[in-house]
Amino acid sequence: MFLELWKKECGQVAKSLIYWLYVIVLAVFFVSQLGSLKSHMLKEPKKGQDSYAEYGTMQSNDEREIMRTALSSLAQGIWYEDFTTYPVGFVKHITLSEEEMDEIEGILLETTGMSRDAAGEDIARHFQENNPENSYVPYVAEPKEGLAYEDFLRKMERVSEILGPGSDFTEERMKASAKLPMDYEGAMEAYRDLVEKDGYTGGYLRLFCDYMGIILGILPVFVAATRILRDKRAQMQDLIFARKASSFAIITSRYAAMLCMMMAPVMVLSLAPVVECVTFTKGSKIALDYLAFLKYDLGWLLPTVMVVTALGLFLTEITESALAVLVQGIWWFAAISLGVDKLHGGQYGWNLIPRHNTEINYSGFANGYTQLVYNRIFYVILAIALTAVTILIYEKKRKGHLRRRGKILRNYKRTDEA
Amino acid sequence: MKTKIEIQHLDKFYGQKKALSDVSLTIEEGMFGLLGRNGAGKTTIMKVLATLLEKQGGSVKICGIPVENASEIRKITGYLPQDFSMYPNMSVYEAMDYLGVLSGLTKAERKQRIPMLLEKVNLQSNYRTKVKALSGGMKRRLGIAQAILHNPKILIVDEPTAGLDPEERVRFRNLLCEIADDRIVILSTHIVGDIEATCEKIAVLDEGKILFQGTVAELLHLVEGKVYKAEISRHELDAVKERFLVTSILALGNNVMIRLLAEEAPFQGAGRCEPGVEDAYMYLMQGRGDLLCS
Repeated sequence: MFLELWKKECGQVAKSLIYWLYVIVLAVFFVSQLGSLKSHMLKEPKKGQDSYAEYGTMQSNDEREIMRTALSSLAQGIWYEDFTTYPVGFVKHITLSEEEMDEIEGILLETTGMSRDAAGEDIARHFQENNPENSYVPYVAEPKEGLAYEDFLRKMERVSEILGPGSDFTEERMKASAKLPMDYEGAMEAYRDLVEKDGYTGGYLRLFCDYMGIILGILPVFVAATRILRDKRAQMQDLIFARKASSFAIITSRYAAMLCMMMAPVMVLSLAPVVECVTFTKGSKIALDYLAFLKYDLGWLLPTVMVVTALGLFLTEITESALAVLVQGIWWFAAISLGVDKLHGGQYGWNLIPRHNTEINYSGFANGYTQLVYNRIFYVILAIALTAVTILIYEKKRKGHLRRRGKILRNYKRTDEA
Repeated sequence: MKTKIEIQHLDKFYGQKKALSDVSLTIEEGMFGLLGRNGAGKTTIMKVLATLLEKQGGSVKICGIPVENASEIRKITGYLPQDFSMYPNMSVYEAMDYLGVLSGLTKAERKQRIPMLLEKVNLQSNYRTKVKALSGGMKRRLGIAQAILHNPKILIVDEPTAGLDPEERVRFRNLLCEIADDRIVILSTHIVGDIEATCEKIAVLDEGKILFQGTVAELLHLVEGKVYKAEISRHELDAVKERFLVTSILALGNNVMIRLLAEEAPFQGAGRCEPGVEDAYMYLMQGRGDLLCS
């Protein structure tokens, strides 16, 4: 019976509008946030090349380096009139008023001695001398002679206030951004890790999981809540409750069908990075891990989909309302916010949405791997527990308990009123 | 195992309110009617039988199986709820197929039974019609088809004719009688005509208690010789209604033809007539002889 029910439930999901909205949002998110990885694909670094920036950077704690990095970013933001923040993990382009821009330009002048126009000329000159089409050499703005680190921090705090939450000019973010350019040895190590330990595709699939984990931390709850509420809306509950099928078979077949239907487009999309890796490495001797997408989809993303769906089932079944969407929305917001300063990967903790926003940093992944495994197992167990409780609630409802509608409840109400 | 429902001293509460009180019924093969006004407890009995509500006291056995054994009971009962509905975007066939799977039918069984049942309820030309496009009567017929999909020994039908036009109501009643050939069909309703036309045995329920249990003939026997018919003027009607239980009024110009219940001839010009189920039902509902003033 389970298999037959599962097939029927898959059909129900496939015919629901909310599922196709899920697929569209997933696809749009993939294209807009990740898109083609061609420009990210790494080649073996060559000794003496102008820059190894694409292979990552090395962390620096030097105050002068912190100031140079932040001021470079500030100068470019002013010149290109392009400031971005990450208030909840998503990029947000900030449009400043004339007064705000004047104030920020004043801060640039006080910290670097450069006006907006002077910064523009400096940036243009730098990129003329270091043609970015050949290799990328990052622009560096030097701090003004005698600029004290504390004074710099105060001024950047003001910039942060103007730009709003999630700006790059908080002390924490500036320290995290202050990195030294990668040297050849470091670049070679990152590349070797990608090729030898990650089978090349692994690094890009981690990046895929990083992005898709964000959207899969919220979308499945809509599909789950809608499926349960459909029974209530169509007044199907009594018809189904009175049937032979066990509560276990009904709930697990629904759950399994939703998981399969929601993971199917994820798996299709995850083939895109694999295909791009195959195309890019054609003719090379790199041994690609063709099946890495299965490991990452099922190991990294499936637990997220499982727990979000299970929470949706549980809360919707017990409340017969869309409360699950609100609860999941809060959890999702918290998870995204907690992950903002852990984008580089390796610090997975117990976050619902583990972050690894780079195709490199294999060493970080390896160091955090055990924690990541614990994290994912925890969410699978939580999902199973929530599903088990949902089955118990469903069984109770089949015997007339916990019902929130119908003639019987009206009787209860009349009694209460009396 | 004999097809039989045995209800002994059944009690059911909603919070503090007693919905069923010491209900005892024995129901055997054929059509059985549960008659009572809204809120009498008919739906509660139906739901207890369909395992959708748990009882608090007494015992209920269906074909010898205690109702607590819900999984076994569900195999032998079919249920048509009062507010029957289906997923609106499913076609008639898809809806039947889905419920067939939930009833544990194999693919072959579904393929064989669904067309047969749709033909039985005269929906054979509506396989692909969406449920939302069906009329009220067609929906009820689909409801019957889904309820007997797994060929249950017991069919529980809760107020099935409410909202149907007279033609559909007659068609539906006939359908129920055909189905009742080899099983128990329990029909709950507050429409006396439904019972009169279909059921041989009935129970009358009020405020959670059984007022009457027996055959229609036995029910009629309660008011034998107590039903009178008279033509009176409209001005006299209020005075008559104050003294007697009037069960029907038919306007005839300035006069009205009334049926009333009385222990003996109520006034001159009133003649005894054949009792109907409605008369007997009203007699029971109004506290039997108490209101039959002389």
